[in-house]
Amino acid sequence: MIEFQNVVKQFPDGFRAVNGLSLTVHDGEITVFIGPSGCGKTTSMRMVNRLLSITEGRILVEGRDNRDYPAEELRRKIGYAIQQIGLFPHMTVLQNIAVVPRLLGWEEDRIRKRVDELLELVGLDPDVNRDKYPRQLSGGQQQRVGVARALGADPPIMLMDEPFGAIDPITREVLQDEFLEIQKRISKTIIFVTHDIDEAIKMGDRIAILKDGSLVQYDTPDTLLAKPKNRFVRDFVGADRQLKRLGLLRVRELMTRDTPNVSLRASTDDARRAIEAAAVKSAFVVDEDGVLKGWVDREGLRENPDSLLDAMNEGDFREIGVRQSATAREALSAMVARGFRITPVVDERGALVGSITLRALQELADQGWVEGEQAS
Amino acid sequence: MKRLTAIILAAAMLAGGLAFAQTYKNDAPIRVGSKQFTEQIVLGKVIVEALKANGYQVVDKTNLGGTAVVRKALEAGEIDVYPNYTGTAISNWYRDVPWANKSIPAGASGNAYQSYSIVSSLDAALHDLVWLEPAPANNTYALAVTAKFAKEHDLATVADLAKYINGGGQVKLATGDEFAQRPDGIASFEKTYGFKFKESQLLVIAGATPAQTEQALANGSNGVNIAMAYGTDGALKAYNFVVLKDPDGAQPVFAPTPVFRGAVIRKYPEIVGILNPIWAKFTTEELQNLNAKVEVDGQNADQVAKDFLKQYGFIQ
Amino acid sequence: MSVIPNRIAMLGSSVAALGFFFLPIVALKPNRLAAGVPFNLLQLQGDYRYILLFALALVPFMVAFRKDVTTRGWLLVALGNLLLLLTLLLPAMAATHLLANATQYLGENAFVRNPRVLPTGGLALGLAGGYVTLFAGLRDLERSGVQAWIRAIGAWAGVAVIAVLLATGAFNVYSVMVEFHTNGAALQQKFVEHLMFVLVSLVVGFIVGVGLGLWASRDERVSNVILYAVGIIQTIPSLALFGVLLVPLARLGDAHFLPVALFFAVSAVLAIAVGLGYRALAGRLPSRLQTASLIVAALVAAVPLTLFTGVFVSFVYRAARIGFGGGAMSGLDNGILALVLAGLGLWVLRRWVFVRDGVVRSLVRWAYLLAYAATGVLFVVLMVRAAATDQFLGAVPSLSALTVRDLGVSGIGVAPALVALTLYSLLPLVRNTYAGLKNVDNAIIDSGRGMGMTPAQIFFQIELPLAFPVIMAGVRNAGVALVGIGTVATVIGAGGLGDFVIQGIVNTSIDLILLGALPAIALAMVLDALLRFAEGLLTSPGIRHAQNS
Repeated sequence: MIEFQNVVKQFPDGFRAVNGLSLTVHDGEITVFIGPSGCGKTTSMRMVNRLLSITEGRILVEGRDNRDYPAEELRRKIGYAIQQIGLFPHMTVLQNIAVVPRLLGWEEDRIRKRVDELLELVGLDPDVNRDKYPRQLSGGQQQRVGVARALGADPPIMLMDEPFGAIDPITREVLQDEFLEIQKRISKTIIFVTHDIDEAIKMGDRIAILKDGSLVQYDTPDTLLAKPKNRFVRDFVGADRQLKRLGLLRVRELMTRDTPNVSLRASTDDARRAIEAAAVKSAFVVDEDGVLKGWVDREGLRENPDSLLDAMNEGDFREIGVRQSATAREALSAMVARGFRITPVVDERGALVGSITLRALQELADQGWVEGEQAS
Repeated sequence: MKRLTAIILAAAMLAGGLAFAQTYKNDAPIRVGSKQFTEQIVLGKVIVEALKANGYQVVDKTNLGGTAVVRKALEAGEIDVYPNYTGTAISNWYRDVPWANKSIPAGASGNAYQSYSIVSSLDAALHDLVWLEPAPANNTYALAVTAKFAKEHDLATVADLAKYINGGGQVKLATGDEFAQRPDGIASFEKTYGFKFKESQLLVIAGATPAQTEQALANGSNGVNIAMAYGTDGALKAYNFVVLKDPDGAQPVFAPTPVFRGAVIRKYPEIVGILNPIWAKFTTEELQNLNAKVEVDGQNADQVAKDFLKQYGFIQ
Repeated sequence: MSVIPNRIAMLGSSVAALGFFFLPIVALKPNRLAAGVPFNLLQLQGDYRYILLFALALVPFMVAFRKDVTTRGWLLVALGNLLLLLTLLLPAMAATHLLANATQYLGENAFVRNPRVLPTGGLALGLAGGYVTLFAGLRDLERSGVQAWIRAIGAWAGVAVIAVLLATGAFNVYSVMVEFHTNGAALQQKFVEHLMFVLVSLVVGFIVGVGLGLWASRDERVSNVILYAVGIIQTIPSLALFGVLLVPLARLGDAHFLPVALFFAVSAVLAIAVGLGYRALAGRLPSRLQTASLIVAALVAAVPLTLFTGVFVSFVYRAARIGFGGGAMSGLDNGILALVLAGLGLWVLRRWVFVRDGVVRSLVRWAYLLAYAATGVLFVVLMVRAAATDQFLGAVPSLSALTVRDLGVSGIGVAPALVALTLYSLLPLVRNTYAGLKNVDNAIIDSGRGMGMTPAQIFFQIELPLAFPVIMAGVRNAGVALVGIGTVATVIGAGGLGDFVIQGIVNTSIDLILLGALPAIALAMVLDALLRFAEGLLTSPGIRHAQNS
């Protein structure tokens, strides 16, 4: 746990970069610091491992004032990764990752094992990459090594200053996804500085929006998007924040589970009954394994009263359904594209697990909008 | 810790050095210097070889530097001896000091005995330097012409040259700037023999030594037909030049003489007896000959010095 | 894919051919001093061989148009080597003939005594053309991916043959070689002298220069003062600097050691006090006053620093001269050399071979540390023993009689040369150290700091390795420059190869000038090559090709 208590940073020229910041970074979470340039986000982060001194207030690291640690010792237990990667060009990948372990006096064997482990963790083949120099790696690979290096001595806390900033957008997406996967396993307490709101929303468990050295809002991404505190936050998160918010929510969490469905073998009567019982216009058709095969509506049943197979609209689950792991945003765009008002939700195999309606998504978006408007 | 080690090492080094220093006897070798041209080197080597042959420890510091450097080194005790010239001592040291200049008679520089007695007594009194017996040679500034030119215009002395110039003869003198400007240089010739080089008749080469002016004459570049030269230059023979005689003593006498620090002579007075007989052999012709062996024949100065000493039986 | 003609080869070919055609290749001199009669290559009497040499010079021009880069490269390397070799060898053969018939060629009036053959402009251009052709070929080979060691063989083959021929006396007819044979013994001594004062001043200049560069890189205000100051030193003509140092150093030499030591102690204490005062006050002063007070502090600090450096350099040089020059130091000097080499060898092994095995690795590491510790101890012992001989401090009766001159300081000789050369080495060293350290990416340093490296660890593990190639470029610059400037040091009695040069100038003997100049050139080139080699060995492969300058 990292706790900022009324932290002030004033530079010798009188500029107050951080002005009474108080917030708590929770264990095992990624906390994103974001704001326009000059807002004090990097300054705040750099005070945690005392790369910058604190003018007033204090920062508790694992319950202790961080000035109670010798500076170097403090830094060695806090992983550090920065935008320009900062890999040492004259050291091999191994030497780079081994920097902190060596500073801590680890045995060579242990270091070697740790380096291989980390390289595998970040998706680089140790045997191929261990003895390469940074300039022999691509930008994405260098960034991976940068992350591995920050994890070198398995620090409980990590500071990351725009670690994916200097990478092309496609690679950045990949690295972000990979890092989220890694974080799931290692659960570090991370302060993550960025100026990219999309990255913040994607990476952050919590987001702290800073402006002129002060904290404006500190919330989960969902709350932030749904209920921006004021005009500054609303402008900062952007006009499309409703869409962004949909991007945060998974279909799994929004869908209706008991959705009317009938088996392929069922009769048209069964189908009609199921539709009427649910007071809806249509039902989904599944096979004996529960895999979505199509849908049938009242109109179809009227025209082909004898055979369900004739009455139903057949369709592959990949084309007519959305996966439960998809975001609400993806579901919305699929429905708009297909002209559906309701769409079936399937699992990895294609089995029907629920459904989601266009109205539900719209309401969700409106809710945030309205609440946001009221707040200002 | 590291700092402590370094301090201990340094202290040990100094202490060791000083401790050892006490155990060695004071037996300093004689350091022989010379200026940086052939005759000086040969004369320096002669002193080196002669002293060595008589059992002295010698450090060879010949070819040390220019006049000022070598003289300062001797005065400062950084060398013990070097071959000086009477003329240099008068013109370069004492004529430049106003009180000393006043005490030196006008014609003294041109007189071998007078100039020697003046510089040796001044040096002894002021710098504790001892001048041994001067050589009979005179390595003075001189004017040289090609043998062909001398024959054509019947030139043997500077007086003949004065006549030729005053009669409208075409001349061009290659000279160093110092010789051109000093009152005891060209001006002294002109005054003594009654003629005048026109500005256009001079080719002044800054810092030039006779070797360069002589080469200018040998090449005949820029119409040069007279060159500044030293009386004992070995190159004169190589180029087949004639030195015009100076019967009226317009130039100072430059007699080479070994000059020692007083302390050394007091410690090893027998050195005087070793070097004086050798020095008596250095006539102008002998020096020309020795210089030519080095400069023209390309022999090693060490070897030339040894051969000379052997030839007269000073060493085996 | 179109292959451009090798323009460098065309240049080499043209240089050699024009040189052979228009310039005399040798001059026959009647004696050591008199000017010679020049001979063009095509004028050389004898046979067709000389025409062949001229034809050979034209061949690279035609080869340059070949499309196959590898073949072209090998052809050019072969032609370059051949040109180098034959340009030296064939005129030497002709020279024998010229010397035998000297009177006939020189005429009746010449004063023929020990006639000699002087290599002249045509020969120099022939060698230059050969070298350029060789270089052109090597570039082709590099481009077509021929391995470095194979190229090295091609590069040095001709030089090796020439060296062998030189040793067997094939070039003895040339006047420089004649001069070498008369003054060869002195040459070795002068060469060692030259090497010693260049190395000693380079080492001291390195310590001082890197220190100043480091300081400058840490403090922007200081950097202006320092860079400006060392820049000014560079503008002083070397002759003037030697002359300027003569008087103060002679005075210092005259002084007794004890009062000077006392003065040093007092000035050092004063400098430290002023320095501490500056540090305490600096933040509070207006910036203009701050700069002024910095300059004052720097000047006060410069007094003990200069005094110490001057005395220390002179002392180390004297002791090293006696210690390494005497041979009477019971083989200590050879022991030191052996240990240094052993240590270096082990260090290389540790770096390249034994990296995998932890045990062997630490063993080797200890062994080389031991080698260097032993070297240090032996070196001190050697210095102490050298200092204690009666050629040095041994001649001083007592401590109170000890003068600074006894420590090796004097107005003439090596002391002023060392001081002047050390000063000259400062600009490239300070500038390159400063630039090298300044150019280290801040993000990289920030990374190191953020990972918990101490300032010393950041300096030694990050900044220094990264700035190293640039600093080494400065060392090479300084080293090569010092070899050249060192030849002027002869005028203040420092000796060295300049002795031959100045004597050659005084005598107008080109042979003698060359006898001093050629070894100086060779020394500069070898020094540069060795430093390059060391640089390559010590630079991390991760940054070795990153900077190509």
